[in-house]
Amino acid sequence: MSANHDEHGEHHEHSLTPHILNLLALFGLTTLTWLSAAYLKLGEPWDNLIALAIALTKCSLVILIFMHVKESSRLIKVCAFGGFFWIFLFFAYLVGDIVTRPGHTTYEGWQPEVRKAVEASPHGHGDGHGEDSHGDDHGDGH
Amino acid sequence: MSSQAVGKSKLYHHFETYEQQKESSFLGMWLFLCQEVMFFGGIFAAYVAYRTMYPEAFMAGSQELNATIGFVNTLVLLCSSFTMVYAVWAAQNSKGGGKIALGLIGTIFFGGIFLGVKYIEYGSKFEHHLVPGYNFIAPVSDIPHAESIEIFFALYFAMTGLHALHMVIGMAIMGWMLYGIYMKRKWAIWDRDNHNFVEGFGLYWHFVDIVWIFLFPFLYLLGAKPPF
Repeated sequence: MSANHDEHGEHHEHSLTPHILNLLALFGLTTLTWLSAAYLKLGEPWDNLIALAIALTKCSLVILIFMHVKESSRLIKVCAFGGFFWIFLFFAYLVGDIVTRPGHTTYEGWQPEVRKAVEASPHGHGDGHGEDSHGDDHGDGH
Repeated sequence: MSSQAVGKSKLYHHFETYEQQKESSFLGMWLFLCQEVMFFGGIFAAYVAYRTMYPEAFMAGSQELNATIGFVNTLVLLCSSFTMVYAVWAAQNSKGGGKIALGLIGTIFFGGIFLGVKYIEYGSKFEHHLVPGYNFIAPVSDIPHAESIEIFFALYFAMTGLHALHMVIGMAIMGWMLYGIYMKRKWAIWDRDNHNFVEGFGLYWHFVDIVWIFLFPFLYLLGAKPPF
């Protein structure tokens, strides 16, 4: 057994170089997200999407290279992917819920006809706090 | 393995091979991290839900944070991840306890800087009456739901506080590892056959780094002002 393992070890000397490059890439992306957030100011979904895309890229770099998932077994890959896929599903349903509630979203333009229908109905949003000019109805208990 | 002055790493009796021992150890660690994803996922979900309800208040709250400090702290945390990688690299290439310890000390050093900066930031929140439930006074009042800036700061303290707690626990574990290396304990002998403790701990530390990678844009960059 030990002979086997010595051989395995000799053939598989790990290098630090990819980790150094990864660190520099992460520095670059951090600078990019910081400066783009401070200067670009493209308005609602775009600032968020840029910041989120850069954060997801950084997260992937850390998982694949620093956490060695790139060279791990398939079992580990499935497990690591599963954990982060779970949070994707979680947020997909969460955001799906938010954007389909007419009174609960800043993206009012996404659902104009639903919004109109709700406002026209005599029950309004359900709890009658509709006096805010931008329609940000925040009744609890939904 | 004769180059190892301190001896051979352990193959625990319930494993057949080092390979099996390693795979079991990493699988267990990844399952723990999946559980951590769910743990932090809940509080991120609360952030998303409240932010869509009070977007102006969250923007105003974020403007009270200093994005430049957040940026520098992100770099510091990435450096600590790199020194952790160095410790894992030293362990998996049988470089000996000294180099592993060097990586761990570097990680504790950068982790300490991060927490020190966090301490100063928390201090300024106390000074500026931004601590929910303690001395909170809304910093602006000319926006809708200005009182909900308190929710932003409640989430800020909960999220960064949980993150910092993870770092403190991580630094305590690293202290324990350094003690094991220094005392030449059998469990603290790590080489290319068994470096599972070091690498498993590395996974934890990198995960904490990932949490910060998301906290930084969510909390600091939302209302970032031009630094120059």
